[in-house]
Amino acid sequence: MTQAHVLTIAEDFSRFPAGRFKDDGAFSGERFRDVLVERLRSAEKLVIDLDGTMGYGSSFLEEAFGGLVRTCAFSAATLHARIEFRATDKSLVAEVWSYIDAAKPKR
Amino acid sequence: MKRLTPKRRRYLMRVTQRRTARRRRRLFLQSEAASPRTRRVMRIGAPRIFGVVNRVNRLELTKFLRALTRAVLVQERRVRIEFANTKSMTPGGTLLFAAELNRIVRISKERLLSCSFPRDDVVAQVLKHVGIFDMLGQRRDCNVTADNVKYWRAHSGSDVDGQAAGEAILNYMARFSDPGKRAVYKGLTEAMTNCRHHAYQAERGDGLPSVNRWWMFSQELDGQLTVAICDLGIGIPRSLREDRAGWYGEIVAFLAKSGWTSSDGDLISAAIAIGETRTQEKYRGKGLMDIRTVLDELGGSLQIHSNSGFYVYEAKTKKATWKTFDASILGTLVIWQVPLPAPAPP
Repeated sequence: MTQAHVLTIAEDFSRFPAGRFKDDGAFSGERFRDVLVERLRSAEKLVIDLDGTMGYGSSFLEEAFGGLVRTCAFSAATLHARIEFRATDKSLVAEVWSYIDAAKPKR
Repeated sequence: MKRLTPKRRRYLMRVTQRRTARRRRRLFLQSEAASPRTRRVMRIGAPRIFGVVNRVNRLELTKFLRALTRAVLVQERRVRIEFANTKSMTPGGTLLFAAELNRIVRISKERLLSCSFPRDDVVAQVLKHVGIFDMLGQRRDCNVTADNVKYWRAHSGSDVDGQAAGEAILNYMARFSDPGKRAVYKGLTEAMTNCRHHAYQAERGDGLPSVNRWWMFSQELDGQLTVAICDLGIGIPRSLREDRAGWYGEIVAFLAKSGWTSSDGDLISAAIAIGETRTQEKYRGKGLMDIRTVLDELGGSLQIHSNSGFYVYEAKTKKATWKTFDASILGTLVIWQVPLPAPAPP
């Protein structure tokens, strides 16, 4: 496992992220969550750059980040320790953390 | 030859008239029973104004759309749409018409639609520019020159297509601030996501197949950008009533607490009000809030038409008003109108 990894969504995923589930489209939150899980498995610390895309709908962000807690067995505390966000719009970072903190693991 | 008495002459004239009437009736019934291709063409007059906000215009438009759909898809009639009286086409009403036509064309097995050429030049330009003439097989040439027409853009799809949302606003990108661009993109993609998840979960209510698509227009006019997106699904109020979003109990409690009814308008407003405070996945109201958030960045107004419900929010006053019309659009239509900053000088 490497020490830190930078994931730039606009370059490493898409400039047009949209939708919640895989069925919704090619660049949905659920698809991006697969990328996140893969990167979290290979690096101890993940720096996620949110800039450069057209924007994010709440269903994309909730499924990608809230879904890490809900379906991928990551706790909110673990994610706070292992993920750092970069964004010029600080309210976007707060929004993402709100989804992570509000999500409940599925039993 | 024996000369006919006046009485006999009148009798024979009556007999001839009856025979002619019977023959005409037989021929008419034969043509009715014939295939759509040879059957007489049904003429349906298009509304004077294609609009959804005014009660009378909305009623006229929805009646026209029902008549059109029924004639082509149920009765399998050949239909000619008469645009002679059409004077005005608003983005919302035109988008709804284009969506219904597109659905009819996709479902019907043969080309049953045609139209007359409108008397009003701007109406003709709109119909040409947004592809309605193509769907109706109208080949007459028409130059699109009017400022309130040539900047219309049309898109349609079935997926949550971020690229289409981006293209709808691409021409205006340089004129918006970064948060403004992100807000429009967020609103559009959430409207598509709502359509994908909720609109087509059941039959629409007109007994005909669905086509599971969204349709979108964008238009620049007089320093204002209008973006409209619609689906022809079950509508927000019905998806809430049938508890397809999984939170109708909470809506019912909210309606009771607020002293509201369960009319379409009240239901849409309640869903948005509850969504303001929610972050979790099951709350459709969060997506509806995203649709409204566009205005926090850019100002302007938002209209949500869903079935008979109509919700409007003005950013300037931060006030929402809503009502329930008699006429249902049988689907959902979202319209943003935001001020567009002037282009930078070259």
